[in-house]
Amino acid sequence: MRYYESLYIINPNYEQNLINKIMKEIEEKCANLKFKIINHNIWGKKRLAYNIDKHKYGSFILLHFETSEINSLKDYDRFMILHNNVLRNQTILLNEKPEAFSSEDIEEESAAVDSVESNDLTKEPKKNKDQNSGESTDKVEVKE
Amino acid sequence: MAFQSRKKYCYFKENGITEIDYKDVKLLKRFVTDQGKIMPRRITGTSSKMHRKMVRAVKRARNIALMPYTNISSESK
Repeated sequence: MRYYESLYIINPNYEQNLINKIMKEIEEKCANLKFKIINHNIWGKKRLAYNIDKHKYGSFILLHFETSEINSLKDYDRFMILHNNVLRNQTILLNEKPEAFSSEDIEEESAAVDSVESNDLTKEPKKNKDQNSGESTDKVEVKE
Repeated sequence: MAFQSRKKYCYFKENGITEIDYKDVKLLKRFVTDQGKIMPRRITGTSSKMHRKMVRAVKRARNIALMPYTNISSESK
């Protein structure tokens, strides 16, 4: 058995009901392809590093599954590319079996990541200066 | 005033990181420039094995729009 992680982006303007509907569609497709789903959760709404189809934000959804049929991955990838509501998708092979987690866990994790990212955004201009002046601060300590 | 160069070390080895997750953007940002280009090993000091893993993670993050391919903003100009 091989374990895979698929991360896909959905239009951020969609409501929860519509997102759930899309997730169900994808789960049904996975069931048809005989994939065993381990996790399927919403990772959160995030700002994209570059615009995709004129969208600045995207709802990220994380899917972990296991399968031994490598050929059906092509069908899955094709399905995701042709799906109108999926902006972008990426499937990677995992070395180990992923841990099964609840939606609450992932919400907490994404909230923590978002808070760190927002702090980084506010500190970024200062951070570069700090990096440049990192040596000088060390020198000051030596002088003392 | 003799110039003393800092000793380079592998960040991953130092922190006991063996696998790099492409979703960990905060970690990956350490190894790209402000423009979004991947920094060479001779600057970051990472081991060749971990550098290859890091490059793969950055490219995956770029593909899924977690990291930019280029970041030519007004600040960098």
